[in-house]
Amino acid sequence: MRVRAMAAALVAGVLAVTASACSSGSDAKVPSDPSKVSGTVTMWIYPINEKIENTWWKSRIAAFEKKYSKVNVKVVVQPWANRDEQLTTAIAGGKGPDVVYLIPDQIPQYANTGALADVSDVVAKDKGDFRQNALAAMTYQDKLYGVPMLMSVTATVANKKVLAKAGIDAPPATWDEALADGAKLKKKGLYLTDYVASPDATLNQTFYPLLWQAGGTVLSPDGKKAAFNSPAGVKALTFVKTLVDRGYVPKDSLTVTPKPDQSVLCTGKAAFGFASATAEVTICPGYQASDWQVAAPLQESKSVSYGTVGGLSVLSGSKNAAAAKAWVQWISSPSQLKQFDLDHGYSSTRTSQGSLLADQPLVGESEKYLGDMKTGVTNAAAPRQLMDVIKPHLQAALLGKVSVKQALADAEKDANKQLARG
Amino acid sequence: MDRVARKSRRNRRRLWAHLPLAIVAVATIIPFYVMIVLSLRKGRSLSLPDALLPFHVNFGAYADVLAHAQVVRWMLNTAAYSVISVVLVLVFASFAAYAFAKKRFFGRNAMFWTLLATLMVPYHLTLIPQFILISKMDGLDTLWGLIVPTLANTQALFLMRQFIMGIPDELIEAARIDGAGEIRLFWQIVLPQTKPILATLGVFVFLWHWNDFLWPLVATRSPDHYVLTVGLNSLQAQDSSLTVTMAGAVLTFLPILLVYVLLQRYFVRGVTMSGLK
Repeated sequence: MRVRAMAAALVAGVLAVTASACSSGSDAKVPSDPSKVSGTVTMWIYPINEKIENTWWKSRIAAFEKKYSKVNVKVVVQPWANRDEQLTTAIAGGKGPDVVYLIPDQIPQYANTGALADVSDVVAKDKGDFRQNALAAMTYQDKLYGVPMLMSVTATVANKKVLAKAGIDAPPATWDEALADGAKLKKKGLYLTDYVASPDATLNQTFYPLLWQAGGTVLSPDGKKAAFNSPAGVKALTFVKTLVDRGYVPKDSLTVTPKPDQSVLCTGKAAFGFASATAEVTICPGYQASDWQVAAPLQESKSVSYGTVGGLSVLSGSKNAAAAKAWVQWISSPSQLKQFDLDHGYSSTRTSQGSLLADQPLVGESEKYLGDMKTGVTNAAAPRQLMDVIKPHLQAALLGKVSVKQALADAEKDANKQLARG
Repeated sequence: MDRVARKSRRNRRRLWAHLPLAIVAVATIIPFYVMIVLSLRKGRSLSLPDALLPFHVNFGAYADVLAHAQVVRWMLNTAAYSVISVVLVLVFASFAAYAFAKKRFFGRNAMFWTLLATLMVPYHLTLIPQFILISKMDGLDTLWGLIVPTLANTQALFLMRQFIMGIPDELIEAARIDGAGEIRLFWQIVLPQTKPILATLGVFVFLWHWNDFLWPLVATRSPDHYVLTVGLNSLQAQDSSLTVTMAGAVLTFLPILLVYVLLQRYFVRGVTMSGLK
């Protein structure tokens, strides 16, 4: 992990130098006349839905090229694995794609080095139609660097069969109710939930939601200082430590990330996922939608959870940035976006499309929390590297090696060093 | 009677001596067993440990993987990348190793240790310069662009040098006195002696290239030029089914097994001789 972080830092440095030298795409605007734009647009996408990704785009490209007859679009489905290494190397070598699918964690990392073009003009006509938190997730230092294409939200997902075994009527709404349920479940030899503290876990679905629920934030508003070492942070980590100490979560998950379909939630040994996407339980052995229930995210001072946004960014090094922006605008137009989200099984980033998945079990229920979800750290240059320096300290506290306060203080120190590096 | 008792005692001793080996062998085989059995399960949901029992065989996951039109092409790309690399790496490594082991020239040791020191440089740090170099040479998305950066293999050079150092100088001198020129000396005297280490390295280099992911990922630009590791990964969503992942892993693993089985005799000899020297 340390080698990866070192490499990422170096790559970021190289990127900064390279990106500053090639900013042809930064100034290009969306063309108003389709006949005036030409060139080849290469888009890198990832298998968001493995069943359709290699075929879905063909008809869309054909339709787009009918309208933009001088533009040629190539969609390349790339692997998720090592995507940052691949993208940073390609950008540094001046061979990056014109358009790439990015998630909020990646936006600051690439925007900070000047690798992304401002795409405000792409959504200028109907900016008000996009959900504000989706746009915020793709914004860095007041500039929009990605057009949001899909959204999902994590909520409280409950296994009704497990609840029934412990005599619990409804999922908890607050931390206190969760602790009370934990005691009931433990008596029956069951876990309340799963908390994964291993190095490869994401804090977006573990610690951050609890921190937000306690009223805290990860960073200061300007993104320059760690803010999680606060009363809210202490409260959140103490809550998790209580879950661990009382045996309400499995100890194994503090050091090893279970395979999704082998987690205690999936195998019927835990009652709740407190920051779980409903899709996570559909891969559980013997999955029946009727066995599951979705409830609001937990509340301490407020009810909030994590959600994801995926969007299309235009690279500033693109030689055909105007054509690239035209393609992104076209594919994110209401009718195309709706089909994209429906076929990929995600919620729409446009409010005018309402609840796209309302008729689907579980996910339809969770859609109502879309408007309130947060997408992790979006105001710092390297959110993932930041997570990497925070995680070991949180894990140390949960394993009983240091106190909660000490862990947060140590994490704050390392996080501030990381933030200072930019 | 005594002889029978002695034989029985000897067999018991052998049994105890072989027991740890048997345990290690089973522990080594378990991951392969899990990979193969899980690849023969059906659907996304697996109930462990039941799913590890070898019943209800289903080839659906293999059908899913092979249904993709480009899988065969990716296999051919990978085979070309691996086989050509093996041949060229062995050629270059044996030339260089012979020079470092048997020739006297100014700065020989400094050059050799400098080469070895490059093994300490993390691969990620050389990735971008290597990419830019190949890109400037128009090698992106080409087979030669994939192969060329992997040819100067320091590990192969090191192992070959150690092996060639063990060949007696007298043998080479005798051939030289008999009138053998440098090319004949290398080709007819040195190279035949290195068959075991060539076979061992051949397996290793084939394995490294067959499993290589990062360089082919950054150096290939279109699905037609993907190798198997990159292609199969490009078909998988982040929450892909374990059965399909395992089926892909088995397909990737089979050629390696085949190469190992074919070269096993040389491989074991090469490892043994390298260890003794």
